[in-house]
Amino acid sequence: MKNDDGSETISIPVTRRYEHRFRELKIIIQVIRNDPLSLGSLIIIMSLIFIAIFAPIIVPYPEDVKGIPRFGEKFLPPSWKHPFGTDYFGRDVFSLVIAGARISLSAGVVVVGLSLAIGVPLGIIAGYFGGTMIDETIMRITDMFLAFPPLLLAILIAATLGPSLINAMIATALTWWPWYTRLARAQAISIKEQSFVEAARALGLSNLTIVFRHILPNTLAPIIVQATMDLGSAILMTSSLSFLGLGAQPPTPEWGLMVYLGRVYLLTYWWYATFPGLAIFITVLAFNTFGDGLRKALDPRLRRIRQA
Amino acid sequence: MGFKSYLVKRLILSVLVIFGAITLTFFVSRIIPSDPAALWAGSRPRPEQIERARKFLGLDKPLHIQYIIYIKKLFSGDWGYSIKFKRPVLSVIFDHLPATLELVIISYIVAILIGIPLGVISAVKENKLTDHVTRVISVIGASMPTFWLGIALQLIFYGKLGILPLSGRIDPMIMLENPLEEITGFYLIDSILTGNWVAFRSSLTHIILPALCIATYPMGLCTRMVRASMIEILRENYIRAAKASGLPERFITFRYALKNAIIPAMTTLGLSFAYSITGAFLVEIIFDWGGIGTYTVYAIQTMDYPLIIGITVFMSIFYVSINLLLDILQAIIDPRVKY
Repeated sequence: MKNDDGSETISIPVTRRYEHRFRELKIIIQVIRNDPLSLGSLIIIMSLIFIAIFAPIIVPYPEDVKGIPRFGEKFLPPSWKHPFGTDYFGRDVFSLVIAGARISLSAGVVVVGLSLAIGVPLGIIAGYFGGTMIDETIMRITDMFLAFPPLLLAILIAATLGPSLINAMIATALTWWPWYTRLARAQAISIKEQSFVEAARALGLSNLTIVFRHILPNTLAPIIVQATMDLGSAILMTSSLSFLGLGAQPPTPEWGLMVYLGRVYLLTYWWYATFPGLAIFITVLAFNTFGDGLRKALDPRLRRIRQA
Repeated sequence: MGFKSYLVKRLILSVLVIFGAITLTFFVSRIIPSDPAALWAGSRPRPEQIERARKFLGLDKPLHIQYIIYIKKLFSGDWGYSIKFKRPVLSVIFDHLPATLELVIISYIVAILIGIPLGVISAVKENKLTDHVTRVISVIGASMPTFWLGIALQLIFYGKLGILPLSGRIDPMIMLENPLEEITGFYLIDSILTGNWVAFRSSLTHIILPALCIATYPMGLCTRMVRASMIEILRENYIRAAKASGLPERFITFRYALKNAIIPAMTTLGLSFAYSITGAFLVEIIFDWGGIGTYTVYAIQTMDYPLIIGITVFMSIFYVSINLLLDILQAIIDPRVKY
């Protein structure tokens, strides 16, 4: 049967026809309910977001985060006063790690957001004009970017732009977008054959309107799910660049940079590098576990059990 | 379309992609904010020295001419001179490639040896506790910041237990007492070939920790892939038939199911191999490995652009070639692949 917007809903009752748009959301909720690992990782992600937002209030030693040294308290081991010990400048590592949550999470969001902003429009345009020169050109450009091992292209771009956190994020995003272009293109190709797009074309709407008003919104759900799953890897890559000295610069409390700085004192003052690294690990682990659960839920070949 | 035309098409496409990557590298390298000529001329150069360096490096010509010269030189094997080492870029790369390759290959052997059994166990015990544990292990492998894992391993095995060396490829004292003759550049192979067992022992103990670090990611990947395809295959009719005819469970799992599950896992692992070489950069720094990764970081720190560009171009050619090789191999092995 046909709906008034021209889309086909074959067996779903009309009253429920908007539900299929939120199918992904429903699946997510179902997965969380059934899977303790996904639930646990979601709780960790939520607490990380909470920490990132309220970092300035939670931090026990706010002046340490600004990089003000306290040389009298240099390299104190973990204690009640300083749960993660202090660093070379006598700064409280616990405060730095908390402040770092804000940096790393926003770095992840910026990287993925920027990649989506470049990749998705290109992919949808390529898919909509599938088989034409426009499609070919866009896809060959993405091939060019995918010809580099990911970290290496990021290193090249970050080294060229000069070391800073912003440049590291730009460099990571520039290596990341082709994946979204591919995903969005595949989505657009499957959607453009549907009758509501045909209807829009018959009404004489311009290509631009069709692409951005009708195709884009319908491709978003799976793309957003993929983007959520990628946040962990984006955080890991940005902190790797910082570890290489191409990202955040001291005294920014960025986790990767702190591991790099603490590495030198590893055998004498182990806590300096250990706790920021643990923070990266837990954050990326939470995002990846959650993503793994999502992948499991969204893969139609693996879904059979729940549908039964 | 036959196999031959598929081959030709893939080859042409790969060459085009490599060409594109080279072009991209060229243009990225020309928007450098600092002046390579000034770097080449050394510290505190006089203006005429910079001018001479500019001419020597060909930076005084218009951009499109520079591009043509750059392409020509790449194909003739002249990849320029490293500013830091004052040596041809290609020879710097080839001197240090074996170290990196040795490390990554050993890591992959470890990853496969652990990953396949984990994947099989996980598939056989689907949705049981063992499966969940394996799943957690494989996700941990993908989430672990390798640079931090390396540090943690150093702290435990060198700092606390003192049973494994901190860093390097071999004990420097051994190089004095029982110098290792370099044939292939792979220390493990060279020491076997020359029968230098002291050197073999030393390089083996040195490779354990960095190899473990690099192995975490492919191991998780291998486990996941083997698990996924095993689960699918164990539901196939021919497995049921084998079970019904009373063949022992273990025999079915390993002889029938695993054999078919391994191909997709190996393809994915192959694709991740080139990726792991750049991933190894971070591990190399921690363990002072002295491979390509160590030198990339030197190149970045000293703004040695010819070397950075050379390594980037080299690695992208390597990366594309491996992908091509795998595609062809898969087309040969798996008759279901459509050309």
